[in-house]
Amino acid sequence: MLEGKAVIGETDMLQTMQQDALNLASKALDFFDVTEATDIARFIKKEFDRTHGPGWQCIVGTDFGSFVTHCCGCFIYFCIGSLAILLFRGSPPP
Amino acid sequence: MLEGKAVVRETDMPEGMQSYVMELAHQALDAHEVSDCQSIAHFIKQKLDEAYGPAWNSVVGKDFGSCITHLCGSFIFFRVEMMEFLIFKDGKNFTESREEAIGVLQKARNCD
Repeated sequence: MLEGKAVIGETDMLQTMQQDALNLASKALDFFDVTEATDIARFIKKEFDRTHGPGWQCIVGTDFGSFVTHCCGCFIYFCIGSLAILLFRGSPPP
Repeated sequence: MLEGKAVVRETDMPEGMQSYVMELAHQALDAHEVSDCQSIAHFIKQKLDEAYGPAWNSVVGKDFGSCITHLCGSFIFFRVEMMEFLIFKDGKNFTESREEAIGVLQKARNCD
């Protein structure tokens, strides 16, 4: 379990949704090792699809750059421990 | 500049689109430092938006995992030497989308 605090790099999400993302990342790191980036990404994406509607995208890792298109209010990039996490929704919910 | 040949790990793209994306990756690697993942990702996304319409997403790096939902026929995961490229397009209609879980150090498989 990582005790590190999450540091938000960039977001346009409402506070409550931000908190959901950070809480899920902490929970994921209780279940998975930091090397299991794909499982962490899946855990976070699946829960966001369930609670905030489908179409979320999640990238987790220590070494990546990205350029994406997201809909308003649905983007967050943050670091927790040694990991960077990018979570966004590309298309508005149906 | 990376001279290596691109190796496709996973894709559901038509051949022509695959070739175009990998050509863009080589162009991006010629134009940018290997360490500048964000500029490489930006270059690829921009060109694809122009060529095939928005909205493409591009992730480039050496160490990442992902879980995504993409439009069918618009997804590729490949590597050029030590760099990994995840390129995909969002669908407006989720009945035409599918989920993928992609990790650099793990076997690719569907989410479910």
